[in-house]
Amino acid sequence: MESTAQTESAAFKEKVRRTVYLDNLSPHVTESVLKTALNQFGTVKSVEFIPNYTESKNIPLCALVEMEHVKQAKAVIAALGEFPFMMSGMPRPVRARPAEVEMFDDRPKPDRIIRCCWLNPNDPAFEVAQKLKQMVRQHAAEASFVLKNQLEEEEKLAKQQRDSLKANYKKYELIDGIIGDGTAQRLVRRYGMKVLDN
Amino acid sequence: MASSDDEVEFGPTSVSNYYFEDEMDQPVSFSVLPIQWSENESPIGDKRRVSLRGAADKGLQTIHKDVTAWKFDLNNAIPEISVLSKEKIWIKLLKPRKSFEETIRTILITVHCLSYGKRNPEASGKSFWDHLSRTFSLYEVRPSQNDLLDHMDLISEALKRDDSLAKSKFLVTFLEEKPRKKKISDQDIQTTTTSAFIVDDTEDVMDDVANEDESDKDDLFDSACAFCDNGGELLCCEGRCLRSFHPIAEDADNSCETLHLTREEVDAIHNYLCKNCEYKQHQCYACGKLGSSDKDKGAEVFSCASATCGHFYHPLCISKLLFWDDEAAAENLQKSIVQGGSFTCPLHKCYVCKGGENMMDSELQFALCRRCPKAYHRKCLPRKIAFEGEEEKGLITRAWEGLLPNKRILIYCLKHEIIDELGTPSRDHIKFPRTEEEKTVVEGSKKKQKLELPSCKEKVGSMKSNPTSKDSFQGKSAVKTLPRFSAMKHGEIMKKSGKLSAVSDSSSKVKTADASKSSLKKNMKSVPVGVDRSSKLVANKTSLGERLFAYVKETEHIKLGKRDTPDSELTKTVTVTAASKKLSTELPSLDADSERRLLALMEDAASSITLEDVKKKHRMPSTHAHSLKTYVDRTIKLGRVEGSVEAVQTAIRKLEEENSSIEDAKAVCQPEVLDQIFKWKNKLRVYLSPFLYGMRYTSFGRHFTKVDKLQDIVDRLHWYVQDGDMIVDFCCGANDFSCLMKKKLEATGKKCFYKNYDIMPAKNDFNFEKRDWLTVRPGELAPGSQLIMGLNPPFGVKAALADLFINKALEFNPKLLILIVPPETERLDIKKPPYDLVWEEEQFLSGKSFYLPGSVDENDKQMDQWNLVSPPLSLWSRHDWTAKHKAIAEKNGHINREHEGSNLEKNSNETRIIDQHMEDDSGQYGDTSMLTDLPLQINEAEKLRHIATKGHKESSPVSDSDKQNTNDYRKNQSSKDTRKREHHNKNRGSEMSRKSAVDEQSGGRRTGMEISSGTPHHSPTNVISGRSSAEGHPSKSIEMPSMSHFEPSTSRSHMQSGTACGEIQSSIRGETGLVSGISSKSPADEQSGGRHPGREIQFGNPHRRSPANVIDSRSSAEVRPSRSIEMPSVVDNGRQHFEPSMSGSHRSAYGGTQASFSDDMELRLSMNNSDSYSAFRYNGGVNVGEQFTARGRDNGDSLGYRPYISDIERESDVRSQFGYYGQEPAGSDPIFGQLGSLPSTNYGHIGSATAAPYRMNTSVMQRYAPQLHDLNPPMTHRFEPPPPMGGTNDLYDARAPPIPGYQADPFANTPGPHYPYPPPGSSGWLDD
Repeated sequence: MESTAQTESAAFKEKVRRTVYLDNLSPHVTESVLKTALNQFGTVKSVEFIPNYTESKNIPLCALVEMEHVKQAKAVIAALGEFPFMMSGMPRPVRARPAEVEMFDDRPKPDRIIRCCWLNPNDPAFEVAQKLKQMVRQHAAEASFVLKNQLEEEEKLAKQQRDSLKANYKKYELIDGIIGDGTAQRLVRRYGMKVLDN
Repeated sequence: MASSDDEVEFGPTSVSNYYFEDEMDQPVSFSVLPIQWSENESPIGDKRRVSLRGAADKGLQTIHKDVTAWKFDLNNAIPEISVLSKEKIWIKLLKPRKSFEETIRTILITVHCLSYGKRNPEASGKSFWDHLSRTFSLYEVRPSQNDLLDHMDLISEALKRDDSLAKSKFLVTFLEEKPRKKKISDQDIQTTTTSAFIVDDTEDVMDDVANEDESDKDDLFDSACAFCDNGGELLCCEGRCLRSFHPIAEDADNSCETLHLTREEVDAIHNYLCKNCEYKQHQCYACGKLGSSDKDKGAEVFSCASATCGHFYHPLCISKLLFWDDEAAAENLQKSIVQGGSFTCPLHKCYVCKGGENMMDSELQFALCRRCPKAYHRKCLPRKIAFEGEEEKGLITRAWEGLLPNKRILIYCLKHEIIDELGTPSRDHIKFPRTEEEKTVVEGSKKKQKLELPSCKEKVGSMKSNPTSKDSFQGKSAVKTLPRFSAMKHGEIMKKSGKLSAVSDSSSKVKTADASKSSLKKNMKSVPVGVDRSSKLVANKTSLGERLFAYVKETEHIKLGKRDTPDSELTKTVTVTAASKKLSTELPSLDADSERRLLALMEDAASSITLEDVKKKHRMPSTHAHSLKTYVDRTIKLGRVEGSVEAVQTAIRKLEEENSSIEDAKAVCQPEVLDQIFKWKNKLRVYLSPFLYGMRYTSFGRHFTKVDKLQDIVDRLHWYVQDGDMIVDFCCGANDFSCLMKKKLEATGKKCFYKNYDIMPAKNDFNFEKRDWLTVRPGELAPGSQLIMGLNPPFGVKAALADLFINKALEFNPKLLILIVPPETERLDIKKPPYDLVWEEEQFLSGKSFYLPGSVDENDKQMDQWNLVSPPLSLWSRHDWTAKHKAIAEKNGHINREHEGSNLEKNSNETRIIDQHMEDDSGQYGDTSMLTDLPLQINEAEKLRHIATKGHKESSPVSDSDKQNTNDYRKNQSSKDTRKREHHNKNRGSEMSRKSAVDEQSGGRRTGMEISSGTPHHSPTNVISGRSSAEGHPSKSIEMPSMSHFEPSTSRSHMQSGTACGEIQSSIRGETGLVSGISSKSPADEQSGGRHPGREIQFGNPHRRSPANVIDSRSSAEVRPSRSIEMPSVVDNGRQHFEPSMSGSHRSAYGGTQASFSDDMELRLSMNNSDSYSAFRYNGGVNVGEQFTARGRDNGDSLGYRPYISDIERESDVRSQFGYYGQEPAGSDPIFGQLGSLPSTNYGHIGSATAAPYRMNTSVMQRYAPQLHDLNPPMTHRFEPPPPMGGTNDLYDARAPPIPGYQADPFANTPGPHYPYPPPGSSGWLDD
């Protein structure tokens, strides 16, 4: 009984080591996209998307990708850390880091029994609990504030990128307009000049 | 002696323009002297004979003294350095001789650094470097840590001796971090280590490649500040005014008004739009008054038509200027301008002679007044407008050269009074439409002290520069006032343009920037410290439990900090968090304080990561080094583009409609502008390619050669390998090549070594080293005579990267180089030493020979890739090995020769069987593509069209003079056909059934078509074939099937095009078109008609040439896998090498291509691609394009046939054709017999290697190629590439309505397929 639990936990630990945590994924990324993308560094064994409960908004998804060997997982992390790696045309690079045990839903839970009870306000532990509660709330508030700010920032960044893309694309269209309809070429001929247009 | 005593006692105490020499009269730094730390200590260090030379006494006296020691004094704002003369007199060093600066650079920087550290113990590294670069602004290379490294001992000694110095955090950490820093900075400098040097070199090369024409490009547009008419670091307006401004008050000298921005703001601005352009309120250049230039809302001022002008005028003003002597003409012009007519302002005609400008002739270059519309030829320039240096004549300088582009002269004409202090006329000439808020900002900022910062970007010759001497106290106070302004300005900018960058610019991080927050942020360094201290106090007073609690929180917060800002400086975050946490312990919810604290935290974390740091960490490999981003953003301004485009349009209108002279047109649009436009387009295309070509760009944009292709290469290459050779794949990708090679060589009993390099980890790590090939050094590999290296390097723009890779490879003197590189790569036979070509196969890798690793298409299948012009596979031999290699090539039939192979049939038999086998085995790609195709069938209309098209196919094997062979062959062929047919049917079951349904509908018509078209078509064929057989060229070719596709065309235009379609067979086609046009009624036909004019395809393939057979026999014995299946390129190969294993029908399609495509079709294709195209863009587009581009063979098919099948792999194509024929009662044989020989003509020629038809081929293909691209871009938007920037894809929608000619981008594909690594453009995006 115990040995199976042990092997299980050992196997799980091994799995964790083989696994890469990816975030900043584009919503367009599907399992097969992920698989193919990482298959160039090794063999992907499984892909598990981590559902995002914290926000209803379209926060980039995260996923756990299990590779065949630890070495490959390391290679993935190294490669993605070294070069901006884009998936599905998303112009923001995907991030990768080693997975941690806590990221797994199906991790073997320790045999800890959690008991709940009411505390008397006079109990010295009451104050501690109170403080902890407060602290948790505060953290939540802070986290959401930070998250909000980050999101705003990202949106701004996205907008800025979009704008600059649009602007550049507009330039391209403008130029393409006159080159495409032959105006520019006619003028080139009129001027008797040579233009390198491939 | 007295005099010398005098010198000693009253000699100079300071020296300027100095330098030091050693015994050898070589310049030497004074730091070699012993240093004296304090007066009562004796100098420490070795004694050397060093003499000081320089000028003293304001230059009246020259000094030549031996010196024995030096010291520095940090007590003043500017550190003093003195040297001790032999006479024991301290001589203060003032300004070094210019040429000597470099010698003492490091020690000066070190001393200044110490001085700054002493006065600013809290200062961060950044402020250190800012300070130092300000101080040493004249140095070409910014001060860096490298400068300090030489004097680590000095610094540590100084810290030991001076308590206040020891408090300097920066210096202390610097000393501690020494080893790591040293490495980094070495790399920065890129001179010390070889690898860095190489990378540096590479970057330069890349720059050269991408910037080759950048030197002249900037020159077209104004590059002087609109305020002060001087050069320097400028911010260019994105709008139509085409002006540039000095953005930063501190940077500008000569009291330029500037835009009053801070460095951060400037960095944050991506596209600057001046107030005039933003509000569309421009000044009339004649009268100076502001007026609306918004054409939608009734413009008051209109811009000059010239592309590079950027000035606006009231119609009245300009009319008066242009026709001052002709009121009627003036009135006409005025009216015409109001109605939108164009005009060129007086700046484009000489004021004196009314002549135009000619940049090439220095006498005819223009001098333009910067205050009013007046221009002179150089030769016509009034004498009173004097150049610099002519002041002696009593004239005021009014003209400067080198400031304006196009060799123009900047002048202030005599109307404007020059103000002495400024050297220019008064500078009130620019009016921005101003708001109240801005005024205060501007006024406020006027009071700011001016600092001088080095100008590093966009250096333009600045002639009136008058560097303000900098005082560090001034600097400080200015810095203090800055945050306010920046905050205000900041908010304003955000509101108005929202163009702030959130990435790198720290100040933009705060969203709701108000003054206090902003200043808080600015003073980050001190704030946290303060809080820190107070928290310590509090902590000391509280109980242990409290402290524990705080500790828990602290750790919690560390985590928080980590999560939010993974790279933040941990220590700092901890202190700040802990401290602030303490203060807000009792806060139930987030109040403003804690919000601010969090913001500050984020801010701090953000500011600890600079873009530079990130860039440093992500050192790009040589292949990614160059980015076009700067160029695109900084140079291709929207206003410039608009102006240029309009100018082109105006110019052509003038020429074509108004019969103006060329000179007039050139005044509007200089030829250089036109040239520029084309260059811009290319740049933009490369830059935007990830978005233009969408989904292909998952991952790193690499492309790998397909395994089956590699296997082919291995099969060929292994003959040349000897036991003990080393095989190097310098860009191994998935690392398949080495593995295949190893397998093969081991099978043949050769033992070799392998080395594989790539910058990405390879999936298979067999002898793999993750390394940039360009950093591999000679000596790391086996000697050249055992080296076989090469394969598929990244290509880069214009094969620049390929060249680099090859050049690197040549450093190793390999005996053999096997290369897959684009044709434009520099040939190895012109290198030094030259290599000899053993063989080259142009079409070996045509078609889907590559795939994009890590990218999937919409069906989640690996994406294939193709090249517009397929990269040839070539084998190069070192000169001394050439004979040997050639012999091997000869022996194995790698060199194309005419052979009479009697065992041809047998061989092909074998081959075919094997092929069949392979088909099953290696079905990977085939399958992939099959699946890919399925979606195709979704579109009914399209299918209809397809089917209709299919109906008009005929094929016939060609019989040639060698009848026996033919017969045998045909037998083989037919058996194979059957097999294929079955296979095919299985695969395409659904499609077939649908097809048949449609067939029923359109069958009648189709039949008619066949008949009518068939006849005229066949007869010429036969004639030709007769000739060809008489010539006897195709003697060995067994089968020459040909197919023709007729497509009905409904619309009149199609009929026309049909007529014009063929160069060779135009008459036939005309008929076809006509027939089909009349007979077709079905909607399907209507759709398809537009795109597919009647067209015929004929082909014949002499591929069964003997050399091919020889190879074949061999290869069949060796199991050559998929070549026959993929049938890639054979046709083109025809020139050198025919591959027997191809089935005739494939080939035949190829022949058709040459014959049938004509310009008209291209035209039509590009214009008609609306409905029908969009229908299959989604799935078919890619493949259609691909087939055309890559593989001549498929061209025929693709137009007529491919679209429906489009994604089915080549072999399935073939199969399908066979299947089709099989169904046709009229069947293959009879027609085969008939048609067969036409192609043989073509191929006869080809075979004989004169290649006349082949060339024709190529040209047709090339002509055709552009159009293929028309198919591709649409695909992009059908793919619905993920909204590029996390949002809408309106961008792509914009493309949806096909604008005629819009898609004409001829090489639309190029950037994609050509560059295995992301083209510069994409890295540009990454930089975002």
